[in-house]
Amino acid sequence: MQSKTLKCKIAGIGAWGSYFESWQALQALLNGASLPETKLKGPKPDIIPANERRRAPLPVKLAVASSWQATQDAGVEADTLTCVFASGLGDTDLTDYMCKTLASEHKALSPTKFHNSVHNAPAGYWTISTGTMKAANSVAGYENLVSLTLLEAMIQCETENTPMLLTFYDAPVAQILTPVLPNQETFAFSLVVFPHSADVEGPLLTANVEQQEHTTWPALQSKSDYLRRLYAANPAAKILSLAELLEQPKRDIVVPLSSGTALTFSCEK
Amino acid sequence: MATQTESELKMAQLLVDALNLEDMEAEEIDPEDQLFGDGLGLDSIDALEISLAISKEYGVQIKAEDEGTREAFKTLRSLTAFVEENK
Repeated sequence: MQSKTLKCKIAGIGAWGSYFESWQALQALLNGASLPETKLKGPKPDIIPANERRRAPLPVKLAVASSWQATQDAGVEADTLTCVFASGLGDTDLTDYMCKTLASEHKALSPTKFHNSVHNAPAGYWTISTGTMKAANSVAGYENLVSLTLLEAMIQCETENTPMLLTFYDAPVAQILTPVLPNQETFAFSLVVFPHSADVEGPLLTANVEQQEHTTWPALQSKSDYLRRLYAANPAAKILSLAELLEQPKRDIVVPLSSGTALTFSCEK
Repeated sequence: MATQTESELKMAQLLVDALNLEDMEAEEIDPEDQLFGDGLGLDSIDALEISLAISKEYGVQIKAEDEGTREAFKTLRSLTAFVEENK
Protein backbone atom coordinates (compact mmCIF):
# COMPACT_ATOMS: atom_id res chain seq x y z
CA MET A 1 0.00 0.00 0.00
CA GLN A 2 1.30 3.44 -0.93
CA SER A 3 1.36 6.13 1.70
CA LYS A 4 -1.53 8.58 1.28
CA THR A 5 -1.14 12.17 2.46
CA LEU A 6 -4.01 14.32 3.73
CA LYS A 7 -3.71 17.98 4.69
CA CYS A 8 -5.93 20.53 6.40
CA LYS A 9 -5.65 23.83 8.22
CA ILE A 10 -6.81 24.15 11.81
CA ALA A 11 -8.85 27.35 12.11
CA GLY A 12 -10.45 26.98 15.54
CA ILE A 13 -10.23 24.89 18.72
CA GLY A 14 -12.59 24.30 21.64
CA ALA A 15 -12.07 22.28 24.83
CA TRP A 16 -13.93 21.39 28.00
CA GLY A 17 -12.92 19.21 30.97
CA SER A 18 -13.19 19.03 34.75
CA TYR A 19 -10.31 21.53 35.11
CA PHE A 20 -10.57 23.65 31.95
CA GLU A 21 -13.38 25.49 30.21
CA SER A 22 -11.52 26.58 27.07
CA TRP A 23 -8.64 25.68 24.78
CA GLN A 24 -6.57 28.45 26.38
CA ALA A 25 -7.06 26.89 29.83
CA LEU A 26 -6.16 23.43 28.48
CA GLN A 27 -3.07 24.90 26.77
CA ALA A 28 -1.99 26.31 30.14
CA LEU A 29 -2.30 22.83 31.72
CA LEU A 30 -0.38 21.24 28.83
CA ASN A 31 2.35 23.82 29.40
CA GLY A 32 2.70 22.98 33.08
CA ALA A 33 0.21 25.23 34.91
CA SER A 34 -1.04 23.75 38.19
CA LEU A 35 -4.61 22.41 38.43
CA PRO A 36 -7.30 24.88 39.51
CA GLU A 37 -8.69 24.13 42.98
CA THR A 38 -12.29 23.78 41.83
CA LYS A 39 -13.42 20.79 39.80
CA LEU A 40 -16.07 21.80 37.28
CA LYS A 41 -19.33 19.84 37.12
CA GLY A 42 -20.39 20.25 33.51
CA PRO A 43 -20.94 22.88 30.86
CA LYS A 44 -24.27 24.65 30.35
CA PRO A 45 -24.26 25.52 26.65
CA ASP A 46 -26.63 28.46 26.17
CA ILE A 47 -26.81 27.73 22.46
CA ILE A 48 -29.15 24.75 23.14
CA PRO A 49 -32.75 26.05 23.49
CA ALA A 50 -33.90 25.83 27.15
CA ASN A 51 -36.49 23.06 26.59
CA GLU A 52 -33.87 20.92 24.85
CA ARG A 53 -31.06 21.77 27.26
CA ARG A 54 -32.88 20.43 30.31
CA ARG A 55 -33.19 17.10 28.46
CA ALA A 56 -29.56 17.06 27.34
CA PRO A 57 -27.30 14.59 29.19
CA LEU A 58 -23.67 15.38 30.02
CA PRO A 59 -22.09 13.90 26.84
CA VAL A 60 -24.38 16.09 24.70
CA LYS A 61 -23.62 19.23 26.70
CA LEU A 62 -19.89 18.52 26.52
CA ALA A 63 -19.98 18.03 22.76
CA VAL A 64 -22.12 21.09 22.06
CA ALA A 65 -20.17 23.42 24.39
CA SER A 66 -16.84 22.44 22.89
CA SER A 67 -18.16 22.60 19.30
CA TRP A 68 -19.55 26.08 19.86
CA GLN A 69 -16.21 27.30 21.27
CA ALA A 70 -14.36 26.01 18.19
CA THR A 71 -16.72 27.76 15.76
CA GLN A 72 -16.36 31.00 17.75
CA ASP A 73 -12.57 30.62 17.81
CA ALA A 74 -12.56 30.09 14.04
CA GLY A 75 -14.96 32.99 13.48
CA VAL A 76 -17.22 30.91 11.24
CA GLU A 77 -20.96 30.33 11.14
CA ALA A 78 -21.80 26.93 12.61
CA ASP A 79 -24.17 26.14 9.74
CA THR A 80 -21.31 26.19 7.19
CA LEU A 81 -19.53 23.20 8.74
CA THR A 82 -19.94 19.52 7.94
CA CYS A 83 -19.66 17.70 11.27
CA VAL A 84 -18.09 14.58 12.71
CA PHE A 85 -18.90 13.76 16.34
CA ALA A 86 -16.85 11.10 18.06
CA SER A 87 -17.21 9.22 21.34
CA GLY A 88 -15.50 6.01 22.34
CA LEU A 89 -17.93 5.24 25.17
CA GLY A 90 -21.27 6.81 24.27
CA ASP A 91 -23.60 7.52 27.18
CA THR A 92 -23.06 4.68 29.65
CA ASP A 93 -25.45 6.23 32.23
CA LEU A 94 -28.23 5.79 29.69
CA THR A 95 -27.07 2.30 28.70
CA ASP A 96 -27.23 1.39 32.39
CA TYR A 97 -30.66 3.02 32.82
CA MET A 98 -32.11 1.20 29.80
CA CYS A 99 -30.75 -2.20 30.87
CA LYS A 100 -32.00 -1.76 34.46
CA THR A 101 -35.45 -0.59 33.34
CA LEU A 102 -35.90 -3.36 30.78
CA ALA A 103 -34.88 -5.92 33.42
CA SER A 104 -37.37 -4.54 35.97
CA GLU A 105 -41.08 -5.08 36.45
CA HIS A 106 -42.03 -1.68 34.98
CA LYS A 107 -40.43 -1.79 31.55
CA ALA A 108 -41.68 1.54 30.23
CA LEU A 109 -38.69 3.68 29.23
CA SER A 110 -38.48 7.44 29.55
CA PRO A 111 -38.97 8.77 25.99
CA THR A 112 -36.35 11.44 26.63
CA LYS A 113 -33.76 8.95 27.85
CA PHE A 114 -34.57 6.56 25.01
CA HIS A 115 -34.17 9.36 22.47
CA ASN A 116 -30.90 10.46 24.09
CA SER A 117 -29.46 6.93 24.11
CA VAL A 118 -28.48 6.86 20.43
CA HIS A 119 -24.83 7.44 19.56
CA ASN A 120 -25.63 10.45 17.37
CA ALA A 121 -27.62 12.32 20.05
CA PRO A 122 -24.98 15.11 20.27
CA ALA A 123 -25.08 15.52 16.48
CA GLY A 124 -28.86 15.88 16.74
CA TYR A 125 -28.73 18.50 19.51
CA TRP A 126 -26.00 20.38 17.61
CA THR A 127 -27.90 20.47 14.33
CA ILE A 128 -31.14 21.55 16.09
CA SER A 129 -29.32 24.22 18.12
CA THR A 130 -27.45 25.73 15.16
CA GLY A 131 -30.07 25.08 12.49
CA THR A 132 -27.42 23.55 10.27
CA MET A 133 -28.51 21.42 7.33
CA LYS A 134 -24.96 20.12 6.74
CA ALA A 135 -24.16 16.43 7.08
CA ALA A 136 -23.33 15.21 10.58
CA ASN A 137 -21.58 11.90 11.07
CA SER A 138 -21.06 10.07 14.36
CA VAL A 139 -18.07 7.82 14.95
CA ALA A 140 -17.44 5.18 17.60
CA GLY A 141 -14.22 3.20 17.78
CA TYR A 142 -13.24 2.96 21.43
CA GLU A 143 -9.44 3.22 21.77
CA ASN A 144 -8.85 4.15 18.12
CA LEU A 145 -11.69 6.61 17.99
CA VAL A 146 -9.46 9.67 17.61
CA SER A 147 -7.41 8.41 14.66
CA LEU A 148 -10.48 7.03 12.85
CA THR A 149 -12.30 10.34 13.30
CA LEU A 150 -9.37 12.45 12.11
CA LEU A 151 -9.04 10.22 9.04
CA GLU A 152 -12.79 10.43 8.32
CA ALA A 153 -12.86 14.23 8.70
CA MET A 154 -9.65 14.91 6.76
CA ILE A 155 -10.87 12.75 3.86
CA GLN A 156 -14.21 14.60 3.79
CA CYS A 157 -12.45 17.97 4.10
CA GLU A 158 -10.19 17.19 1.13
CA THR A 159 -12.51 15.28 -1.19
CA GLU A 160 -15.57 17.49 -0.59
CA ASN A 161 -13.44 20.64 -0.33
CA THR A 162 -15.47 21.72 2.70
CA PRO A 163 -14.71 23.09 6.16
CA MET A 164 -15.37 20.58 8.95
CA LEU A 165 -16.19 20.51 12.63
CA LEU A 166 -14.70 17.57 14.55
CA THR A 167 -15.77 17.00 18.15
CA PHE A 168 -14.38 14.35 20.48
CA TYR A 169 -16.15 13.78 23.80
CA ASP A 170 -16.37 11.15 26.53
CA ALA A 171 -18.01 11.38 29.95
CA PRO A 172 -17.36 9.36 33.15
CA VAL A 173 -18.59 5.76 32.93
CA ALA A 174 -21.57 4.51 34.96
CA GLN A 175 -20.39 2.79 38.14
CA ILE A 176 -21.54 -0.69 37.16
CA LEU A 177 -19.47 -0.68 33.96
CA THR A 178 -16.22 0.53 35.50
CA PRO A 179 -14.69 -2.99 35.77
CA VAL A 180 -14.57 -3.03 31.94
CA LEU A 181 -14.56 0.71 31.12
CA PRO A 182 -12.64 2.50 33.88
CA ASN A 183 -12.88 6.09 32.63
CA GLN A 184 -13.99 8.56 35.32
CA GLU A 185 -12.79 11.72 33.55
CA THR A 186 -14.83 14.30 31.64
CA PHE A 187 -13.45 15.57 28.35
CA ALA A 188 -14.42 17.29 25.11
CA PHE A 189 -12.29 18.78 22.36
CA SER A 190 -13.24 20.32 19.00
CA LEU A 191 -11.45 21.37 15.86
CA VAL A 192 -12.67 23.47 12.96
CA VAL A 193 -10.57 22.53 9.93
CA PHE A 194 -10.43 23.93 6.39
CA PRO A 195 -9.03 22.49 3.17
CA HIS A 196 -5.28 23.25 3.09
CA SER A 197 -5.69 25.59 0.09
CA ALA A 198 -8.28 27.76 1.92
CA ASP A 199 -7.40 31.36 2.67
CA VAL A 200 -7.59 31.06 6.45
CA GLU A 201 -5.06 31.46 9.26
CA GLY A 202 -4.00 28.44 11.27
CA PRO A 203 -1.51 25.60 11.61
CA LEU A 204 -1.26 23.15 8.70
CA LEU A 205 -1.84 19.54 9.77
CA THR A 206 -0.49 16.73 7.59
CA ALA A 207 -1.51 13.11 8.05
CA ASN A 208 -0.03 10.06 6.35
CA VAL A 209 -1.77 6.71 6.35
CA GLU A 210 0.98 4.11 6.57
CA GLN A 211 1.09 0.36 6.44
CA GLN A 212 2.73 -0.53 9.71
CA GLU A 213 1.68 -2.31 12.85
CA HIS A 214 1.42 0.30 15.57
CA THR A 215 -0.63 -0.49 18.65
CA THR A 216 0.39 2.11 21.22
CA TRP A 217 -0.41 5.81 21.53
CA PRO A 218 2.56 8.16 21.99
CA ALA A 219 3.40 9.11 25.58
CA LEU A 220 2.26 12.61 26.53
CA GLN A 221 5.04 15.18 26.91
CA SER A 222 3.15 16.68 29.84
CA LYS A 223 4.16 15.55 33.33
CA SER A 224 0.72 16.36 34.79
CA ASP A 225 -0.77 13.33 36.60
CA TYR A 226 -4.25 14.59 35.79
CA LEU A 227 -3.59 14.92 32.03
CA ARG A 228 -1.86 11.53 31.92
CA ARG A 229 -4.78 9.88 33.70
CA LEU A 230 -7.22 11.61 31.35
CA TYR A 231 -5.17 10.55 28.30
CA ALA A 232 -4.96 6.93 29.47
CA ALA A 233 -8.58 6.38 30.51
CA ASN A 234 -10.75 8.61 28.33
CA PRO A 235 -10.87 7.46 24.67
CA ALA A 236 -11.70 10.96 23.33
CA ALA A 237 -8.76 12.43 25.26
CA LYS A 238 -6.31 10.58 22.97
CA ILE A 239 -6.65 13.81 20.94
CA LEU A 240 -4.35 15.36 23.58
CA SER A 241 -1.46 13.82 21.61
CA LEU A 242 -2.46 16.07 18.70
CA ALA A 243 -3.09 19.03 21.02
CA GLU A 244 0.49 18.70 22.25
CA LEU A 245 1.72 18.49 18.66
CA LEU A 246 0.00 21.81 17.94
CA GLU A 247 1.80 23.31 20.94
CA GLN A 248 5.21 21.79 20.08
CA PRO A 249 5.20 21.14 16.33
CA LYS A 250 8.88 20.24 15.85
CA ARG A 251 8.27 16.48 15.70
CA ASP A 252 5.92 13.87 14.22
CA ILE A 253 3.56 11.63 16.13
CA VAL A 254 2.47 8.14 15.09
CA VAL A 255 -0.89 6.83 16.30
CA PRO A 256 -2.62 3.46 15.80
CA LEU A 257 -5.35 3.37 13.15
CA SER A 258 -6.32 -0.27 12.61
CA SER A 259 -4.64 -3.64 12.57
CA GLY A 260 -1.67 -3.15 10.27
CA THR A 261 -2.09 0.60 9.66
CA ALA A 262 -1.05 3.76 11.47
CA LEU A 263 -1.41 7.52 11.02
CA THR A 264 1.56 9.86 11.19
CA PHE A 265 0.84 13.52 11.96
CA SER A 266 3.02 16.54 11.52
CA CYS A 267 2.18 20.19 12.00
CA GLU A 268 3.52 23.49 10.60
CA LYS A 269 2.55 26.71 12.34
CA MET B 1 -49.68 32.75 43.20
CA ALA B 2 -52.32 30.33 44.51
CA THR B 3 -51.28 28.23 47.54
CA GLN B 4 -50.17 24.63 46.92
CA THR B 5 -51.72 21.81 48.93
CA GLU B 6 -49.45 19.08 50.27
CA SER B 7 -50.35 16.66 47.47
CA GLU B 8 -49.84 19.41 44.86
CA LEU B 9 -46.36 20.07 46.23
CA LYS B 10 -45.56 16.36 45.94
CA MET B 11 -46.79 16.38 42.34
CA ALA B 12 -44.80 19.56 41.64
CA GLN B 13 -41.66 17.83 42.89
CA LEU B 14 -42.39 14.90 40.57
CA LEU B 15 -42.62 17.34 37.64
CA VAL B 16 -39.37 19.11 38.54
CA ASP B 17 -37.54 15.76 38.88
CA ALA B 18 -39.06 13.98 35.88
CA LEU B 19 -38.63 16.94 33.53
CA ASN B 20 -35.34 18.21 34.98
CA LEU B 21 -36.81 21.73 35.08
CA GLU B 22 -33.83 24.08 35.18
CA ASP B 23 -33.64 26.71 37.89
CA MET B 24 -37.11 25.89 39.23
CA GLU B 25 -38.18 24.73 42.68
CA ALA B 26 -41.32 22.64 43.21
CA GLU B 27 -42.68 25.38 45.52
CA GLU B 28 -42.56 27.89 42.66
CA ILE B 29 -45.09 26.13 40.41
CA ASP B 30 -48.41 27.96 40.64
CA PRO B 31 -51.11 25.24 40.92
CA GLU B 32 -53.43 27.32 38.70
CA ASP B 33 -50.92 28.15 35.93
CA GLN B 34 -51.11 26.41 32.55
CA LEU B 35 -48.56 23.58 32.43
CA PHE B 36 -48.31 23.58 28.63
CA GLY B 37 -47.89 26.38 26.11
CA ASP B 38 -47.64 29.82 27.67
CA GLY B 39 -47.49 28.80 31.34
CA LEU B 40 -44.65 26.49 32.32
CA GLY B 41 -43.77 25.97 28.64
CA LEU B 42 -43.99 22.17 28.66
CA ASP B 43 -44.43 20.23 25.41
CA SER B 44 -45.64 16.85 24.15
CA ILE B 45 -42.49 14.94 25.18
CA ASP B 46 -43.01 16.32 28.69
CA ALA B 47 -46.58 14.96 28.68
CA LEU B 48 -45.18 11.48 27.97
CA GLU B 49 -42.57 11.86 30.74
CA ILE B 50 -45.24 13.01 33.22
CA SER B 51 -47.48 10.05 32.35
CA LEU B 52 -44.59 7.64 32.88
CA ALA B 53 -43.58 9.22 36.19
CA ILE B 54 -47.18 9.22 37.47
CA SER B 55 -47.64 5.59 36.47
CA LYS B 56 -44.47 4.61 38.40
CA GLU B 57 -45.16 6.79 41.45
CA TYR B 58 -48.95 6.46 41.80
CA GLY B 59 -49.82 3.43 39.65
CA VAL B 60 -52.25 5.61 37.66
CA GLN B 61 -52.28 5.09 33.89
CA ILE B 62 -52.94 8.20 31.79
CA LYS B 63 -53.91 7.37 28.23
CA ALA B 64 -53.64 9.88 25.38
CA GLU B 65 -57.00 8.86 23.91
CA ASP B 66 -59.01 9.23 27.15
CA GLU B 67 -61.42 12.16 27.25
CA GLY B 68 -60.31 13.44 30.65
CA THR B 69 -56.60 13.55 29.77
CA ARG B 70 -56.53 16.99 28.15
CA GLU B 71 -58.42 18.45 31.12
CA ALA B 72 -56.14 16.66 33.61
CA PHE B 73 -52.97 18.10 32.05
CA LYS B 74 -54.19 21.70 32.25
CA THR B 75 -52.67 22.72 35.57
CA LEU B 76 -50.81 21.26 38.54
CA ARG B 77 -54.13 21.41 40.43
CA SER B 78 -56.12 19.48 37.81
CA LEU B 79 -53.35 16.91 37.38
CA THR B 80 -53.11 16.30 41.12
CA ALA B 81 -56.92 16.00 41.41
CA PHE B 82 -57.01 13.55 38.47
CA VAL B 83 -54.39 11.31 40.08
CA GLU B 84 -56.12 11.48 43.50
CA GLU B 85 -59.42 10.42 41.90
CA ASN B 86 -57.92 7.55 39.94
CA LYS B 87 -55.50 6.07 42.51
